[in-house]
Amino acid sequence: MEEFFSAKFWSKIVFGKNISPDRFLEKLRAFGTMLDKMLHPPSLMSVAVAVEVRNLTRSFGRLLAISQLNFSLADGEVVGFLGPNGAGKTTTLKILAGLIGASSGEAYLGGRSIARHGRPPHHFLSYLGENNAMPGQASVAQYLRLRVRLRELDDGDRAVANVLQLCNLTNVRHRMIAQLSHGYRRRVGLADALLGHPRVLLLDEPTAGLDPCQVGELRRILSHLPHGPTILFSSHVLGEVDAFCHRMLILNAGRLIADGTRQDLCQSLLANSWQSWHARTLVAGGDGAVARLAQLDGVRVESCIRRRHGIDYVLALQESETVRSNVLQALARDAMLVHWERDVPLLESIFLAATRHGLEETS
Amino acid sequence: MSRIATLFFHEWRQQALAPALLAVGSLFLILQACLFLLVLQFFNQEPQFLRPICLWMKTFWLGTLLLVPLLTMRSIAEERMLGTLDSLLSIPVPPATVVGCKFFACLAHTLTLWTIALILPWLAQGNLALPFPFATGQELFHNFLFLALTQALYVAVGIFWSTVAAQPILAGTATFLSLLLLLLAPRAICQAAAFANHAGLRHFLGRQEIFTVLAEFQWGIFDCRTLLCYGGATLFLLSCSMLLLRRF
Repeated sequence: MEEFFSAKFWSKIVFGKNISPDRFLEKLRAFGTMLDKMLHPPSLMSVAVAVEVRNLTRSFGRLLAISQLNFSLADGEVVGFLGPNGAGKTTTLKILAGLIGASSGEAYLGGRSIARHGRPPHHFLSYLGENNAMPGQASVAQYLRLRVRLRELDDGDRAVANVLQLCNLTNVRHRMIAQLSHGYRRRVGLADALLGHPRVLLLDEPTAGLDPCQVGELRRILSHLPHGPTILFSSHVLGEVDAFCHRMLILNAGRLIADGTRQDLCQSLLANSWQSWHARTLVAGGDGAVARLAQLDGVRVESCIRRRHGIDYVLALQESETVRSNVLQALARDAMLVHWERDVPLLESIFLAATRHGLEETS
Repeated sequence: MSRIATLFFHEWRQQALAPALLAVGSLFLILQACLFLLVLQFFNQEPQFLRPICLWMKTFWLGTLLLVPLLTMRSIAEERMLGTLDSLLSIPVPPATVVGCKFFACLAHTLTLWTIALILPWLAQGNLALPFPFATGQELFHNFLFLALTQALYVAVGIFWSTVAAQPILAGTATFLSLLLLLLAPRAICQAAAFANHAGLRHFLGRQEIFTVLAEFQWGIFDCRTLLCYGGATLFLLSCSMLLLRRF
């Protein structure tokens, strides 16, 4: 009987060999800790990192959709998710939404592993899919009430009224979804995603197919959310991401090739690269300005066209704040500078540099 | 209202409002009426020892082959194609709830149509002044039980193919062929010379052969083995559908 209670007896049964009692107790403790972690996952409300992805890989047969992705999103952060078509943005968002599993690696939502604990409850995360599909035979209010019941939210009527007001849908709440325009359907999708004030919003190309007014409206809605959720915003509209997001993640061919704020990415990807700029001066400074520009380092005058009231310049400048300020001084010394802008917007330059850099690395 | 009940009523309503159900249901009821009239004609020509319902039910496979593939093919395959399945699963609603609710909604519609097809001739038999009764209430009930058991399996087959197939039309075709196989294969195997030495298999398949099961139910014999076989196969197919829902 004594033998039954001994660590030696149980170590032989469990591990098939004799191990020291200390080692056995250590293993038992480790097992207890693991069990405790499984049964009591960290609280979703007390985490600073809302989303974390470690070595996330997903393949579909031979096709590697995403490979070894690593990034994290702080609580309340708004992050743009950029990349060319087929880069793996939707796959990543679908894994985070729990719609598909990862081939390897881990994704954590609120500190809890999706693979181990399953997808967190609806009040933590909402996903707005790319095609924004919804049944056309229901009215907007009916559809939202159905989603409230499926989400098992308390006080569903108030939740529906709140999102209807937030997304400016009150006047179309009795209209059939099939009769709504694309922009309104997107708004209904967003209203559905906002039900229950989720902490994390995964938006897969929410501005696709919207006109500039609707894009502005969508941005207004997202930037005025009272509970300040973490937003992962996938889009092809670079200006949108630039205006709305704190940080950018750029994917290319399934790999994360850039992660940082606009300034970070500009410094890391565009440093010393040649960028094209347009300038226009009102009063013709004559050849003096061209001569001054030619003397500057990091400046090439590509073209200089004389107009009746001034000169149009196309300049190639090395990406540096100092070079730009020198050029501005040279141009503005004896003429009035009326136009000064990049040929390709900054974010587009960053995106092109990042994807080119990624392609070179891959090849 | 619980999430399961909400989803079930949503699925039921979605299918009930779809024009496809109206078209399929009308076709099905017209087919059953034609078959009923043919049976009556046959009974008027030659008096039989059987009730008309027994002969009429032997044609149940025609209605099944029409109804089940057309009703089930849209349930999951179409939702996946449109993207509404993703929006449902992202709430998240567990796959078991989705598959279960779709199965019961399809089964409810199938059995409703069968009930109408069974009840109408039974109610009309007094007005038709037939020289023979169509069916007694008890016989009607026995036939309904048979239909409930077999249609559950056939709807589960449809749901399975709807889960696996990428397109509704593929799901419908696969369901039609599977049902044809389920209806014909046991009898064909029992009669095939190649299986002459496999007495155990032939005995098992002979017992599960659909017209043997129909005859047993019509006589009021409810064999546990039959119930287990059909019920087990239904559960197995639904479990496969639940597991495969996210894979395809």
